[in-house]
This record gives sequence, C-alpha cells and structure tokens, in this order.
Amino acid sequence: MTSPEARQHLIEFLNSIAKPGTRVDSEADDTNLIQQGLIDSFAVIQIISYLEQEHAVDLHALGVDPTSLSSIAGILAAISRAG
Amino acid sequence: MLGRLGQFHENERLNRWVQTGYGRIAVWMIAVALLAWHETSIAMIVAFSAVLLVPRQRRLLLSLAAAGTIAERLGNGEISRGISEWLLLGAKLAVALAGLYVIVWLVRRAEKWPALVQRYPATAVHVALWLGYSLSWLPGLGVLTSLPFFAWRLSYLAASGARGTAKGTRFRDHLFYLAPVFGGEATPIGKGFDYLTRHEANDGPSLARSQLAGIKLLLLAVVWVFALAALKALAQGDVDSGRAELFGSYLSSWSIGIPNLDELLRATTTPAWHTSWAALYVTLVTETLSLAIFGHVVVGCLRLLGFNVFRNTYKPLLAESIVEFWNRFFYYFKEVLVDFFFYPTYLRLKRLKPAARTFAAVFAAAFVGNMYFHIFYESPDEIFLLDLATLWALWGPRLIYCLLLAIGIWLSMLRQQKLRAAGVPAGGWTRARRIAGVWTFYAVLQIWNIRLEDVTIGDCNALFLALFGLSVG
Repeated sequence: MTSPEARQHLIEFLNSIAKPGTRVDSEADDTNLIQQGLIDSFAVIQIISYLEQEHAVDLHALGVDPTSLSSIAGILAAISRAG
Repeated sequence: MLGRLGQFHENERLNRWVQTGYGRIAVWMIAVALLAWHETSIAMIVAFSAVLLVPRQRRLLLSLAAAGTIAERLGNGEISRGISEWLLLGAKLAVALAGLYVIVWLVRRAEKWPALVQRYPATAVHVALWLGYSLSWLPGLGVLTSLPFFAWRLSYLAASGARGTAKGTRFRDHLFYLAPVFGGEATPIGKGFDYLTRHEANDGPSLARSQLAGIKLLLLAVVWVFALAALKALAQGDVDSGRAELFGSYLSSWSIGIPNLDELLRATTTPAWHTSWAALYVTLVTETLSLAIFGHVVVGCLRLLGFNVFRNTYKPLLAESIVEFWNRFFYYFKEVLVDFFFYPTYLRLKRLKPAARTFAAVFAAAFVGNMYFHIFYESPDEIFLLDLATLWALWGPRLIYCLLLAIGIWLSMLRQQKLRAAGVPAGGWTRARRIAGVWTFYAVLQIWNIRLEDVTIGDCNALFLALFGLSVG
C-alpha cells in the first residue's frame, strides 16, 4: 500500500511533466495518461527517473513493464512493489 | 456540431441502440460494406460476422481464422488443386500449428526457463529465429523463411511469458494474434497478448463502443483514400489503380507535375530547388496518408473484433516536435522499438547522467533497433555478405536515415523536457512554426529512407545538397 502523501506527491510530479495547459488531478487512477494526451509516451522516462530517485524503485530488478507506468494506478503499484 | 459527429462512437444513446438486435444488424451491414470496400480478406469478414454473433467465443473464432490465414500463406492463396495437394497443405498446416503450439506451451512454463532466457526473453527468441532461418536452405524447410514475420509477435509472447501473464492461458489466447486475420505485416499492430487483453471488450457497452470506433476509423480511411488520390493526382499527376481511380483520373488533368521522391532521386538533371522542396513535402504527406489508410483499416478491423486499441497513425502532421511525430506516425512500429530496445537500455544504464542515458536508449531504439528490424524482415540473407562495399551500397542510406533520426529524436526529447518544465502552452504562431519545423525535418530525412536498386547513396546526398542550391561536382 502507498500512503496518501506518496500519492499526492506523485500527482504533483505528474502535473509537472504533463503537457502544458493540462493537469492530471481530476483523472481516475486507471486512466491511461498517454492515450488521454496528458503526457507523451517519452514522459515515461521521467516517471522512471522519479521512481528511481524518490522511491528507490529498480524497475529492471522488479521486472516491471514500463508501459504499465502510463496510469496513476500503475505507478503506485510499482512503488508498492518496491516498498 | 462536426466535433460531436466525429465522436459518435462515444454517444451513449447510440451505444445502447447498437446493443439491440436492429443495432447489431446495422453495425454488421455498415462494417461489412466498409470491409469489402477496403478490400479486406473474406476470412476477416467471416470472422467479424461470427464474433458479432458470439462475442464470448472471440478468441476461438479468431484462432480458427488464424489457422485459415496460415493455410492461405502455406498454399500461396491457390484454391484449385488436386486431392494430394490438399492433403499436403493439410499436413503442412498441422506441422505449423504444432510448432506454434509447442512455442505457446513453452511460454506458459516460463518459470522453468533457464535464468538467462528469463532475463532476456526477446533476445532468446531472436537467437532461435536466426538459427531457424539459417536452416531454411535445407530441403523441405523453405517455410522457415517466413520466420521474420513472426519475430516481434513471438517477442511479445516471450515477454508475456517472462512477466508471468501467459501462465494459465490457452493456445487460442495466442494463435489469433500470431497469425492475425485482421492484417498487419512485420509490425504487430495491436502488439501482443498483454496489450490486446487490456483493450478487449468484455461486456456489451464496451463491445459497442469498440465497434463504433472501428467503423469511425474505417470511414476515416475512406476519406484518406480520396484525399490521397486527390493529392497525388493534382500535385504529381499520379493515378493509382483501385478504389479512387476514377476520381484521381478526373483530377489529374489539373496536375501541377511535381515529381515524387523516387523520380527526384533518379533525375539525370538536378531539378530547381523549389521543385525539390515541394516534392519532398508532397511525398511526406502522401506517405503519411498511405500509412494512415493501412493502419486505420487494420486497427478498424481489430476494433470491430472487440479490441479497442490505440490508432496506428494519429495526426502526425499536427505534431509539434520530432519525437511527437515519431510517436504518432507509426505507433506500433515505434512501440516495438521502445519496448525491445529503448526501455531495456534505459533501465540498465542507471549510472549514466540523464541526457547520456536518454541518448543511449534513443540510439538503441531509433538507430540499432530500426536497422535491425528492417534488415531482419526485408533481407536477412544480406547480413551474411562479407563484402562491406556491397553492404554499404545496400544499407548505407538507411544507416544515415536511422542515425539522423536518432539524433533528431534525442534533441527533441531534451527540448520537450525543457518546454514542459517552462509549462507555457504554445500560441497559434509558435505552434505553426513548430509544425513547419517538424515537416521540414521529416521531409528532408526521407531522402535517405529509400531502398532502390538504381539509386546510390551519392544520389541521396546530391539531392540533399541540391535543396540548398549546391552540387557535388
């Protein structure tokens, strides 16, 4: 389980990498942010860096599929697996 | 009004009606008319009709259609044959299905794979495919030359195995996308098991939404067929045979006679610089429309069958950055390169600085992966040539293309990160300037994205210089 603080921190980060003029706050956790046009698929590498630096998540070691990081739920699941 | 019309597949009332008996009949009639117009296979039309009747048996029905697709390939599409030839075809089909069954059986037992294969499943697939391909010269094993077609589909299958998502699945859960009745070539449109499962319609409303979205895409493809015919006729004077031939013939009398890229490269005298620029831009648009038509039909079929997957081509000519264009132009090809080259490289190089790490990953995808993809699919035999001069003549232009593409994408990614950090949305003029820049980059880049026997790398370079009024000699 991830804490509400971790979730809020993630939302703030996602807002910072979202396309200019868009926000992810009001999106459901399982919304695919790439398909909704809120982030581009290469913003996923920024999400990977965020997970590595902020949560010490090693996606390679965990065998996490990076494409699953296109939703809030997918990112929270990766944080949860690492924790 | 037009916007709402364009979003008809999201209309709740229409969705509810499509789930009724009359609605399903209407969907069937419209979809079959569109599939026939787009010249999809009879097998696809039959499969769609069957899925509409019993959507819960979708994977079984599509697997039967897949077996038919394999049989058609094995029999080279010939129908008139004697009993002994039919028996031989049946035997070949049985062997092919048995081979695929063994592969799926192995994937389901991924926990028993050697550690190295578990760690590098796609690499293991490709080593096996190269070994298999190298045996294709043996008598009776010529069928192994078709292995490159399966390369990326099997790679996705192996990745599912390594992730554990293939455990407990059945043969039918995989056969339908390994030999897809919905079309696609070397690039697996719709990716593989995991992606298709995530986008599969499992209830009435989502199936109706998916099928309406499929109809929308097939309709859009009709519009692009006519737009392409108009552009080719008016700009280049070209008339393609087929569905819009009459329309193109009518318009071609007003052609302004701009050459296409192939003609430019073959020209014995250098055309005026403005003609060359116009030719490059027109070629970029015609290539984009051609790809959009192809992708819309394949994705349209997938959606009709209940897999509401992302479009293959999504407004690339409105992209404001090089990386965005690459993402939108041929989505599933880019996904292959990102899934099997970009992410694995990026995740392993944690110690590099961010810009260097990104560069390595982009280089692995857009340069190494791109080259490998085309060599393996188009002519794997050539890799055994030991004559470097011949290899350079054959693959030199594409090597330059991939190198420039990789550099362009990397610089674009760095720039996009900075723009995102600034957080300022682009205004009308800035947006138009960015779009023009993207068009120009890809228009020029396609000079080297060719493979013509009578065109040398020198011809490509000469055309590039001619764009700026320069000549080689």
